[in-house]
Amino acid sequence: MNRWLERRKFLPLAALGVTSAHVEFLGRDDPIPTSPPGYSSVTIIRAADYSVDLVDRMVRGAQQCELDVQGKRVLLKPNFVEFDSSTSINTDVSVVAAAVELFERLGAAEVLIGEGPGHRRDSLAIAEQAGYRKSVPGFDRRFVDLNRDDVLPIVGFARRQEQFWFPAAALKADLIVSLAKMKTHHWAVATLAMKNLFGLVPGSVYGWPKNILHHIGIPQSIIELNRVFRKTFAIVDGIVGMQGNGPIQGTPAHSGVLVMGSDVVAVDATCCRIMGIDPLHVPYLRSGAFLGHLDSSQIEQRGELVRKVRTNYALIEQFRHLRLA
Amino acid sequence: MAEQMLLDRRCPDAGWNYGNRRVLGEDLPGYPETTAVSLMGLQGVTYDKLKLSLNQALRWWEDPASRLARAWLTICLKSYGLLDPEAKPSDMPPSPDITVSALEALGAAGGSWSLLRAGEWLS
Repeated sequence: MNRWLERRKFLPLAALGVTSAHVEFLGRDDPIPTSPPGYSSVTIIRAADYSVDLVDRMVRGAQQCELDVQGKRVLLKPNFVEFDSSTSINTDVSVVAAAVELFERLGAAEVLIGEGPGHRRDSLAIAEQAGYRKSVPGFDRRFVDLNRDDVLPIVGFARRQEQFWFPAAALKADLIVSLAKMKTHHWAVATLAMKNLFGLVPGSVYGWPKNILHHIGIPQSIIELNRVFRKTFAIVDGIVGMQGNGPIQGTPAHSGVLVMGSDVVAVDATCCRIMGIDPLHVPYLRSGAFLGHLDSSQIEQRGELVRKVRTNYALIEQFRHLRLA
Repeated sequence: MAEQMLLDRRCPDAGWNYGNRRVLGEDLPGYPETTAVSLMGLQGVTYDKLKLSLNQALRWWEDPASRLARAWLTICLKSYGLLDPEAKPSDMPPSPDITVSALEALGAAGGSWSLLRAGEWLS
């Protein structure tokens, strides 16, 4: 059977007014779902290392993306799933600090930081180890532990009959900013802006490591989360990413870029191309193409060109056939 | 059977994490808080089987990663009689985090940690 994944279809989340297309998991040769009309802009900004003026670069990126957050409640969602000082698991602390300043400068009414680590119950311990508490202005005041925040129900997540619970801070935000790390992932191929939303699922309800998402299926869950949470913006930290056996045990890979945009499919597809991965064959992107633009002909690349910043990330054996030509 | 399952999922560093000791051939580390909870559930197991884990828990207690970790480890190690019952979970002011505060109160001198000692509640 020439199928990567079991075929599954999902019903629209009509109550939330989100995209009404269903999700169908594709085989290798099936046509990709139709993307929305038009095109999306994705900005690639060079940043040689974390010591450069990241706020200035993000301001330029936000302008190129025509980002408007005046008066909005913004929730920044970095990735600090775990901490290991010997590699590059987390969104770098300087990227998070710069993002706080960016959104305050842009006139956001509130800038919170939220994460629900998938493995650890002790979110603040990771935040401490990763340097967030020390180096991100007002971190303790801004931080919401999404694993233990108050929760609210939605209906229809992944065709489930029962309600599915999400943190109030995530459901009430006007804009969720996926402050993701550019990493390979040993199951999903890559973890970027879309996969980063796994941290919105509350551990206090679903436990650790949030097995419900694994039972639903990782690609399916990525798509569902991004279908529910449509008011998103992505900033991917690819200054130093992770290659090989990511998302925890890979090795650092230097790409020297930040990737920004409102279309998370287009942002993730662009990141894949930078990493030397063919996004058309990444299951969650291929099946989730109805949410945004996957094909490069529908992505207006601003800032740097992909080919000028491409850095082939090492891939584990089962994904080596996904190397972009 | 439950005890054996926990023992089977112990990490190479003698602690416990969310339940995986290896992924794709790579060893994974244990975490202090889940190690404490796992040891609480293994109070019926002989000391020899837990010696390495209890030593690891003591090392983490002496150099805690966080207040949550220290609070869980205090309750755990007091239950095993490996810590002075008067030992404080923290010298810091009460935490604004109600979960941490509750666990610290449970593990404090005179706290109700002893009710979590195996068999204690039956006596």
